[in-house]
Amino acid sequence: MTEVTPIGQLLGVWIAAGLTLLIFSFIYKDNPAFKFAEALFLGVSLGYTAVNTYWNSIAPQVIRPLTPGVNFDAWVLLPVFLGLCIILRVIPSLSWLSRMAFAVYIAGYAGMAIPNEISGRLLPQVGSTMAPFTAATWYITPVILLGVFCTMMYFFFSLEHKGAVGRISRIGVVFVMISFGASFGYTVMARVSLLIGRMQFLFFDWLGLPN
Amino acid sequence: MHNLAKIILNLDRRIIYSVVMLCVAIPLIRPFGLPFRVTPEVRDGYELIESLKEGDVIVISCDYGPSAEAETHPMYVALLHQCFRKGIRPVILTLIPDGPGLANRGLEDVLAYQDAEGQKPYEHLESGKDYVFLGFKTGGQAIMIGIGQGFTGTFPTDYNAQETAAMPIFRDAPKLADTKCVFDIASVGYPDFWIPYGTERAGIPFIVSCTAVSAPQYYPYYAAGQATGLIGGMKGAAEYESLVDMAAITGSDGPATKGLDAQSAVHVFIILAIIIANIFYIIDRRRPLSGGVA
Repeated sequence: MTEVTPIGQLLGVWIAAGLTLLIFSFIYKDNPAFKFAEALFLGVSLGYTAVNTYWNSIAPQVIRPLTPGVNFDAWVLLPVFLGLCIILRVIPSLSWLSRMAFAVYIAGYAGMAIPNEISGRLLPQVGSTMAPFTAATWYITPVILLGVFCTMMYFFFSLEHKGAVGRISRIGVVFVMISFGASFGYTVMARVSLLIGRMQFLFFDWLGLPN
Repeated sequence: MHNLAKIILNLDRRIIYSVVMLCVAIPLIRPFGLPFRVTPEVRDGYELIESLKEGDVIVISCDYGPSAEAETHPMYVALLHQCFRKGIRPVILTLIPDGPGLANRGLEDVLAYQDAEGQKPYEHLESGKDYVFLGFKTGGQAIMIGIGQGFTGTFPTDYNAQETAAMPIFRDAPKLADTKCVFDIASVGYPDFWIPYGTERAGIPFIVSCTAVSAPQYYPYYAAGQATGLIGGMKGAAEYESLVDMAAITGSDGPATKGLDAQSAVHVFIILAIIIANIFYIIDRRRPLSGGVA
């Protein structure tokens, strides 16, 4: 368990509060203090990601198996070689080597993705769209069918959108707009939640107001 | 009226920001206690966990970072309380590099939780037996397929560099199909991958808890039965906190519940602002003003 001293805790809260206020200063207008906090955030995020990736992926999956001893595994050299080939893309004379690694990567990923996407996502979703009419779903199934049909018609560009096709695609636009409206509402909620989280931190953790 | 329209349509954005700040600050300091109801998609997720037996193993994938802490972390804490109270054993992992810090802090906070009588109800729980935190591993979908074949092969060590092969929790649930469900708490798109690469292959239920901004994209999975529960944003987390009864466990409402009054206040302000701005926009459009919005 990570032990944090009370002084360390206090210092952390004050630094976090100060940086939050620097970021909030952008609300008034763009300024050097905001730029400083933004750059610091980017640097810390990258550093944190690099350290975490090293200790959680590279160290146990590359360094440890290649260290002589009971866990030695020479097969690890193969993916390490392919990974280094991708990095060689930055050297023009050797960049052709990266194609070999990308070919393996794309082939592996396609082999992994195609059957899983079809059986795990496409077919169940299509099945759900064509669900039978039951007492519980009779009122919603036609709406889903209508929505899917009209929206697909809106994105069907081989026929000119006029006459019956135009009217159907206009209904599709209504469904798309409703979907955008729902997404926008949720987005507002999400952004407000983030502000609430920061304000809770400032009020209760930093200023120590009764919670 | 036209002068008022001119003022409203040219309102300095900083005034709007200030009102939003006040709408958040006042309810946080003096809560209104507005009621909210638990939605079926949150209740379904909660009831699935409640239906599990003592000793059952579940996977919690903490795919969120500090930028989404306010929306997702309360959900994680409430879920851990629910699991530990019922004796359910979570296998916790994260698929994003900025996930381990919060996932570990939440786990430590809940394990160290002290009730009103000064007792630590989860003090006896042992890592590797009653829970385990595997940390972060890059690979996303490959990790999901990997743990479908076996946890210990994909994660030879846990977050604290302890060998996983000897852990009792993985003797009882060596692979994903031996667990009872996957509960993904995410601020990124991993729920989209957990379903085809993880739970559908393993034949186990899936519950998604996500930020509000990504909630709409997961409703088709809930409607199709591919996700048993859907907990969206701070509102969903507050609903889950109320079901777990965080007020009874910790003596006060959870952070998501405490934030809901502020959320409602801002929503009311935004709705009013949209209505007022549109009314004045229509007035402005009928008789354009100099300096008004075209």
